[in-house]
Amino acid sequence: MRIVQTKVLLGVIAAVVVAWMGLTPVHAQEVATAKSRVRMVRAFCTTGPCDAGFTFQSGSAHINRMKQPKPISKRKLGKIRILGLEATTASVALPSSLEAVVTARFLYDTVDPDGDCPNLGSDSVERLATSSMFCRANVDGRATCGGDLLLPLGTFDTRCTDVRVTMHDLDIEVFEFGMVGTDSAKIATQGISLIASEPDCSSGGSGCP
Amino acid sequence: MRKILSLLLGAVVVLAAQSSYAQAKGTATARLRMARAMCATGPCNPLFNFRAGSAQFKRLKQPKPLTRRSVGRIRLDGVTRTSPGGLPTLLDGVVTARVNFDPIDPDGDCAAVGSDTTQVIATSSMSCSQKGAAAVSCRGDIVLSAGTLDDPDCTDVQQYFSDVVVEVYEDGGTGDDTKKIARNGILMTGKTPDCESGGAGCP
Repeated sequence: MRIVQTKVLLGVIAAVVVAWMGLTPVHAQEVATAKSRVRMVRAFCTTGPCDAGFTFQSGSAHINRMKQPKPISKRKLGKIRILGLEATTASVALPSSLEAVVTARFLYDTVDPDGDCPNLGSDSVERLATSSMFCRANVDGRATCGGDLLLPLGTFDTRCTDVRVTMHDLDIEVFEFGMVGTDSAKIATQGISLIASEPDCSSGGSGCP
Repeated sequence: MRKILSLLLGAVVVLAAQSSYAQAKGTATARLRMARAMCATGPCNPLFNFRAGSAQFKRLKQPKPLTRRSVGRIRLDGVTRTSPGGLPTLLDGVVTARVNFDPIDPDGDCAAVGSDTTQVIATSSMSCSQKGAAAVSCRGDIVLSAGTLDDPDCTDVQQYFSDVVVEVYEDGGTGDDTKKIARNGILMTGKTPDCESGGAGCP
């Protein structure tokens, strides 16, 4: 009889706890975001391609799921690659490497269980990862470039691994090697490209309505 | 003879110009993840939370977008309410991007050639269905907005969308930060205790 009473009591307590949890404001997404796959397009500055010297066929960047405390010791965030890189003029040689940079707006949560994270509640734009992309020449005269996206040392503080971090406004850019930040050497950025079809639909192009 | 020669010369110039500017293939399917939209002081919309979400964009190829306006799909799973009240039946998705038109138009009739603007390129009306007692899953097609990829004069001009931002709002709340539930990004959850206090898995 006593065992049954204890079980009933425990059941009631559990039900109350679950109901209380259901009504408690939850300010947090419960699961870390899964792997993202973004595509790379030719970087455009206002008057045309930023780097008129190179073009490419396709490219992508994969960003893995980030789970604490792994980013403290494992620096690999994902991978990036550019396929079919070619020089737009014959006199320009294909590069042996490229450089990629990922920046993001970091928003630290306002809750820290032990209160020692110095970034608590902060909102700043910072470098999230970099990559030295190695290029190899293909038989068709183009190059394939790829590399790991690595977190810079000290990106995440050991005192903040118990704090939720949201990253918005991810910007992924690929530059000629040693030219990070120079618009005229920016080859690619993340985005979507749409290939044109000739003639246009005003001139009876195929597949037009 | 002179006409033929000038036509040939024109063709060579156009081809050379195209090869120096054009990415040869349209981008393949991209998948962005959705994180809870954060404003400076915390979640933009404190009333709703969700478990996971994504936005998927298909490969685009001219002239299909003129007639087929759906370019992808968006979903938010496990949408819950953080305080007593009803769950949503509809959500609004909005995609904003910087749109660059290539400076080359073979027949010179595209008005937007060489332009660079930031605008809403697509929207989604997401319908929600009940998943369990206290959660809904919401999903919808991403449909191109009027003024995006609908000019028949420009289907022969290469276009690029960069700085793509995907946002999800409560129904009718588009543009209001306090109604913004999700935005594309990365979420890294915390793990207690932290590495300074001997957390598991720490170096």
